[in-house]
Amino acid sequence: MTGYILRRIVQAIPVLIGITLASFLLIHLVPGDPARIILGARATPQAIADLNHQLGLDRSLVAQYGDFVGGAVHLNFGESIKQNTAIGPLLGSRIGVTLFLLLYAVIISIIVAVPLAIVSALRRNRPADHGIRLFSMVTFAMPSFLLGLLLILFFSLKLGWLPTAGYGDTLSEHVKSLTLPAITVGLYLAPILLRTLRVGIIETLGTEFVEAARARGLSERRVVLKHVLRNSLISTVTVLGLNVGFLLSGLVIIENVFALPGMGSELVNAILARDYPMVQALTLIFGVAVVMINLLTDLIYAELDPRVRL
Amino acid sequence: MSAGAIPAVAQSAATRLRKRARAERLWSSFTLWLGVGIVAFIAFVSFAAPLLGFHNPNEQHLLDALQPPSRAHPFGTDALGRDILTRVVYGGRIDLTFAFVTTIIPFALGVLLGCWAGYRGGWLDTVVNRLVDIVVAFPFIVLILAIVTITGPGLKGAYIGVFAVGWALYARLTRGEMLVEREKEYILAARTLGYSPRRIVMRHALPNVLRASIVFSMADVVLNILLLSSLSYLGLGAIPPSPEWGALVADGKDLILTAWWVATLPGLAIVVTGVAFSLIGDGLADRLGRDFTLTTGGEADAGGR
Amino acid sequence: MMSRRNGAAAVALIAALVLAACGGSSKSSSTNAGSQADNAAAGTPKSGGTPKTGGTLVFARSLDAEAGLNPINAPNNGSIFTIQQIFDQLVEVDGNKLAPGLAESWTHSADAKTWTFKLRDAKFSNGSPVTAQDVKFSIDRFADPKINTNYATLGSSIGTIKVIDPKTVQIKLKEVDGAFLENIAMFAAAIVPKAVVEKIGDKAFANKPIGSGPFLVDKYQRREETVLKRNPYYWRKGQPYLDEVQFKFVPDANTRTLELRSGQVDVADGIPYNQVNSLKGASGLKVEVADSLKWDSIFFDTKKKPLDDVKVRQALAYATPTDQILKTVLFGNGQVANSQIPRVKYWDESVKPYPFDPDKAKQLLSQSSAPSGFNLELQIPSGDAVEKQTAEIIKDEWGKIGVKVNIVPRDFGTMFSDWLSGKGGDAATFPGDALSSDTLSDDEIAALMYDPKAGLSSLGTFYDNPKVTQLLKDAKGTIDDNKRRQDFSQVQTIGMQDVPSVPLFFTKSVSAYRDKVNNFQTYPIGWWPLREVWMGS
Repeated sequence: MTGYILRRIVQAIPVLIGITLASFLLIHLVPGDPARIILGARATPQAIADLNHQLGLDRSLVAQYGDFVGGAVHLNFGESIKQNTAIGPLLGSRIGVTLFLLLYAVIISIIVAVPLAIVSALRRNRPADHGIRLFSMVTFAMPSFLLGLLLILFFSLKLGWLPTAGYGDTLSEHVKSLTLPAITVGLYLAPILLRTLRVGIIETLGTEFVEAARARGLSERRVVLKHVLRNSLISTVTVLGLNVGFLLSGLVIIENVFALPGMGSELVNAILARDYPMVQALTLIFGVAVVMINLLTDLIYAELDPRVRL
Repeated sequence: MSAGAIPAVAQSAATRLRKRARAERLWSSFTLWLGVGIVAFIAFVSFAAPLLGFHNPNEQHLLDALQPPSRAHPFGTDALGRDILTRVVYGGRIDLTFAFVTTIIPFALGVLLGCWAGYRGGWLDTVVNRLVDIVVAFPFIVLILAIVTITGPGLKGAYIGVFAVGWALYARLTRGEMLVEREKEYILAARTLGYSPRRIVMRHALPNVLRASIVFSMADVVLNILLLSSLSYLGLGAIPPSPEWGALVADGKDLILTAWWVATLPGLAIVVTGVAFSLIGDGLADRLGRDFTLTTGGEADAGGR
Repeated sequence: MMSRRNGAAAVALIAALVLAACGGSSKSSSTNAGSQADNAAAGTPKSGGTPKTGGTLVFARSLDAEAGLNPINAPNNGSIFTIQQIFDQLVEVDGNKLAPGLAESWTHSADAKTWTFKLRDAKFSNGSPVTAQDVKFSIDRFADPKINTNYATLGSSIGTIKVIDPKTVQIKLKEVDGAFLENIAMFAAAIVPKAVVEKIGDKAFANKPIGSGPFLVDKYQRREETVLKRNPYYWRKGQPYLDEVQFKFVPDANTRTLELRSGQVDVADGIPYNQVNSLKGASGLKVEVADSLKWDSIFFDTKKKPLDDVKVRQALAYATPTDQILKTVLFGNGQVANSQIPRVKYWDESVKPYPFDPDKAKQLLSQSSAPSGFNLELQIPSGDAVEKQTAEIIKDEWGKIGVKVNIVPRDFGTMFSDWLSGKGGDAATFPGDALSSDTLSDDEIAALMYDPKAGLSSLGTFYDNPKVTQLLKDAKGTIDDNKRRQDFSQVQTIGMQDVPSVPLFFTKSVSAYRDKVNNFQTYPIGWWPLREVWMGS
């Protein structure tokens, strides 16, 4: 096990270098002068040159990349160009929002997907199954910005139950504010979870040990609860872990629609402003998160499913 | 106790199972062909639009702006008095073409890479694998927004972005299948017969390792349509007055309180098309025995090797 | 200043100018005038009822003060509009005129090069008094191009500043400046506490600003919210009425409107034109459609062929259906423009706008260097519904006279820097609220539009008419209001003939608020005198 973990961590290093290098090169390829954007069109060429110097943008790309990596190792991401303040503390408050939303959305998608997947699998090819599958196809094909808009219209405006945007100050306000975005993201994730689980459960139901359990006279209910759910837990963890990148991309749009002060809206803002240090920091954090979560997923998977040889 | 009762029960159970299996096959054919039918219908209407009486999607009638759905305008009109149904019909050309091209090219690229990596193993496999890891872990939205800013507006950036990233999942899926396949007897036999690796991969293994990718590609089509519409929603996709579906939804988003049809009916086109592709995917999954999945399975199976 | 209507990015590019002189050509305002202004502000509310003290105003804004709250170099309206609630200048903007601010009166020498300001008793929000030293420190910074990098030209006429006594400051100008009072009334010339800025530095000051304005900063979370509390030391007795102002950053226009409708916020700015009518009909809501110093144009790169031919540009102006666009896209919320710059102080109403006349357009084009038409790339900011629809209508109409328009939407930050360097398209539009004058005088925005040496290549049109630049110089070199008015009127007339840009509209600022909010108003310059707002029941 230790060897396996070590090997996985070593494998993650080139991936992280690749991600940072790619994001660094990419953002420097993008045309547009951040100094000009920050200072405004009326700034003198001298002021722009000064700012570029101050930001270190007049040095070679290699030196700039070296600085970025050197700082990142110490969790020092420098200063945001656009927001004129240190990135570390700024992102500190953004990460909370995004994590909260992510967790909330995952919980919602589990609440929606797991029972539906079980019903769907047990009632395979009956009307209930068809209905559930159609539901999952519709939510899968629904643009998340449209779904978000419709949810706002219905729950906030028609019913007045929930706020339309923002994050609030207290925990209960956070929960309230994040409910609609979390439903939107949750419904975006649910079909993937649902379909994978459904197949998994159908497979499990056909396996020998379930047959054996049935033969031992266990009720169908016990079979489902004991064996099927355990196995679907494994699939759930795997599906969620491996789709975390996909999920993060979804968050970006939703954070914008719901005006949430999270990392996703920060990212779009930073790209459009050519806020190099901010884009690099965010890309790195997203990348590390995906790599770590994938790693964790594999470990949990290995733990839950002894068939995976390590 | 009656000994004959048990076979009787077993027999009737077997019949039931057989009947059920037939019903399932029928149903999966039904969903498959229903999906194909809807997609074919949408494609036909879009590409044959002028023959069906749909003319210029950009024709403005400023005095007829924001008319609700009626007999003359079944989907209503937009802020510039353009007929929304006509725009949705012509928009189908853009979205379907985009979805097709951005699925088929990464599909081909990814499958080929995955095949070789899985079959050959060694350094090639390691390189491809790490590359896939990077691509999958890289926040896609950063890439696409950056590329769109570099290439300028229009669909160019969206095409390039998807090409740059889309292949990775196909490569991973195919590689996983190939790892299993290459140990199978028929491949071993082909090797013993001295067939070239190229022939073994292309002629023998390929048809068997394609299944997961084919099923996934149907989900990929939907994701690509959604991506294009998200970009247009952010104003970075299709060039106006192009009637791309996402752009139509974006046009209507500020009007949603006063003219619901401008955003929702083009949105419906996106959903219906997406559901149709999912139906095809479902039908194919049943036939090919591989379900739709976005699980990329990479390290779990690599670890198990 | 610039902002993005779609909120995807607030990119501040164009700096704005200064405050309008209080109209007088030479006479300084007296102490009396100052106290009258005080009375007017505090005593006569613009809507009925007696102002009540207390309450919190929740304000959903399209822009955020993410760039910091330091008045010097504040790059965009997100920051500037918040800064104006926290700081005072010597001279203040009061609607479309100037009024005494921290200076209760001022006089100037006969040659208009020496100005003496008498300070009132006022305190910063940390309790320390506003002294002549603070004023000298602040105006020195404003005049120093090394510190005031973004708005250097606006402070460039200022020479030396002398503290006469703790309540009197004398400013000597290097040359006569017709817009001097407007310039020192802008946000960048806000009076800051010398001791605090020197102690903590500009960077920290941007996060924890201290001013003498009606409000102080209680909580400042970028891209989330900024909470302002009443400044207990504010010099206008009884004001502000509000205990607290919460600026919430809500970039999406729909969401802002929905929050207002569902009662989560009291005020929302940047209401899309197409929602004005439905909001007017909603119960409990009021809509304010206010004049602004913003405008909308189609700018031409006059170096590119065949746009270098004035006949071609005139033809395109005649082929532009401004009335129709105003009705369809702006839902009537604006005015067809008869000038290439916004309606600031010296706007001449009598200049005729271009009528929509396709026949005349065809005739002009046939006499031009491109008689059979040409292709034209029109770049527009991405994600902006108004610019997009405008461009689509124009594509249609210009197509009818043989000019094939290719619309190219681009991320505005990139588009604008390309455009200014002549690497953009043949023509461009900017987001409707991207360009506005930050001052109440025409000098700065006119220089940006017509003077290729003012820093923006005539807003990317590369328009260069020596006669116009001379007129601008003449106007700046005098404080004779009649002379200035004539010069600017001539500039407006020549500009309309030369059409470096097709003027479309003088646009409006649209805000909406719940009817318990009293006295809410938006100044043409863009921000709101929130010190006058009070909450009813």
